[in-house]
Amino acid sequence: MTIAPRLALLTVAYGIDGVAETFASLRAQADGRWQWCLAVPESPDGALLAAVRGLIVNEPRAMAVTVPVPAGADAHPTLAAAALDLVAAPYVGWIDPGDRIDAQTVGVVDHRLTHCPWLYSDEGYLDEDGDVVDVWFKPDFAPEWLRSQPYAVRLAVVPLEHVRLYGGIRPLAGTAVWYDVVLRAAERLGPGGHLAGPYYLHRSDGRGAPSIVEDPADRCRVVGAVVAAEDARLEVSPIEVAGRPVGQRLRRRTSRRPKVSIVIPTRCGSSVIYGFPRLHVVELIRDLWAADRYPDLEIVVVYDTVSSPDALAEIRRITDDAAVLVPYNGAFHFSRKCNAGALAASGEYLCFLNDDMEIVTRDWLDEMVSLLDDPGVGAVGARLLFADGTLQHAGHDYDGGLAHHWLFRRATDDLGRSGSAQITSERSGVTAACVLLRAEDFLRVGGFSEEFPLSYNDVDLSLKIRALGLRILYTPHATLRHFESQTREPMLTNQEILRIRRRWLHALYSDPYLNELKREPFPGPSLEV
Amino acid sequence: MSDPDAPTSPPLAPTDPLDVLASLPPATQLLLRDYIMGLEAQAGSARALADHHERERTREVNLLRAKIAGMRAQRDDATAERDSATRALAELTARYQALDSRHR
Repeated sequence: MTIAPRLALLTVAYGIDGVAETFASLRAQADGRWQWCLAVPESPDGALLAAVRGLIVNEPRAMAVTVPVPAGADAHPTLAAAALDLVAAPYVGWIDPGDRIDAQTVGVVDHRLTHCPWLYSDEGYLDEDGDVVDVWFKPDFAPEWLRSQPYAVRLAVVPLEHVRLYGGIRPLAGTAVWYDVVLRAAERLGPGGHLAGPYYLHRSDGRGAPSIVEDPADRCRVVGAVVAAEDARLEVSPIEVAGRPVGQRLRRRTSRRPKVSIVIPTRCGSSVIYGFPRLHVVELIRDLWAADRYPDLEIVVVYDTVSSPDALAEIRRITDDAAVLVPYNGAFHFSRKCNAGALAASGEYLCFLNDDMEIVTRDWLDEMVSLLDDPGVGAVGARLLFADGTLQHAGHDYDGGLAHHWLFRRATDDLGRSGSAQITSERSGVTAACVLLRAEDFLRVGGFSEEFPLSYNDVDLSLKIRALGLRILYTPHATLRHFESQTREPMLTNQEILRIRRRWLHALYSDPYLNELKREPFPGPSLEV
Repeated sequence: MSDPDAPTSPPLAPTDPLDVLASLPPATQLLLRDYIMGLEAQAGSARALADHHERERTREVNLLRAKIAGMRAQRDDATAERDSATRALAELTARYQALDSRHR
């Protein structure tokens, strides 16, 4: 009696190397409802096909096909399409020769697919001896992250019907055929389920960095082809750090340039930077108001009434009296000052910006505005660097009931957390030191909460924005230098910690962009079975 | 035609809380909207935590049940083994006694 397969895996092999290992991992499956569809290029002597068929003889679940292929990049899609033609299972995934899947994979995937339309797993890296030496712990589904990096490709399982209905294997994809399929699944079927754990085991030397095997040009082409359906003015370029592929940058050329109000709370303070005194807010505004500035810009300065009149006069002079100056009276209260600025602003978008900043990326605001053009995005945060060039901000993560800065004080080119500081990707929150959001959303959520005068006001704002069902993005393509003291103790008060936990305790333990296996467990009673 | 000189009733006060909210000064609106979102967040967080603990407890109870079932099965197997050994011993004893009495 034959049992109908549930999951088919496609493989394209150009040699016999690694095929036996992959086959062995399939035969070791606890749930035997799999099918293996292998395609090899046709050769005059048929040696490769004969070798493969010799290996899979007596295994009815494995089948091999050979097709004549054109030379070059078209070979891969042609072979992948031939493998796809063999599929008789409702779900299909991809496995490269030499890679393996965990013995429980088929059963676990089949069970999880009852809860989500498609899914992907974490990825383990194997050394030459076949031992797992590292794991790519992935975030829960994040669409912009997927467009910027093929993080949900191995192992990704999608419905066969979907693959066939929406273009099958496309010749344009080159080596990135499965990334192309997954991107289309994400766009059409919505969020994929995340199977936490290294169910896919990949032969790689990718320790400490994501292992991306697709050709950069192919990756950019498929992202362009899938995303450009919605936005024709899209440029996609590969991102490499120290010669390692990390992902790709999507540059959206939006025609709409909504008015942006930059709200700067300040005391008109100064400090010594690189050996010279710097009057922060004045230098920042000089930078913001440069000739190449964003076209429709309003600057709102919320200043303490003790501020130097000379500094205010200089701001007026730089901006030809265009800056809106809002006086603020009272003890330091970050939230109250920002809210006062927001109420005086007239822009469709609000950008809250600390005064001790220096612009590094000239078109930082264009980049952030282009990301906020997506109606599913509620806020955009920038990459902030300390004066010594280390990372001050690459987004927040929330874990163990607290908020942390992602890869805090790491090198600018750090590839930790799968290189996510180098790509535009989702975060649970971003710092209020530089954040762009819609004025309408800001007012709808009640602005910065006055319950948090010093700290956690940005965590609270971020979580309120996400409570509206909107995503928050971080982009490294908008970089600013933040002269915040690196040695300063964070101004956390117990009261603010208690308040943020009272509001958001669950969210502070369930950051979707931290792998669930890496999260702190919830506090509470446990039977410890 | 209506009489223009007839007394008119005063305009009704808005009854929709959101209309009332929208009629307040912007700074007050911000304060209240944040307060409302804070309450919603607290309620949502409490609900999510309760769901989480409920799932955890169900999982742990199921694990305990599975363990208890496994131990019961082990106990039943051991009991059956013991009973069968006791029966075998009784049979052997009876045979021994029969042989012993025959040889006396």
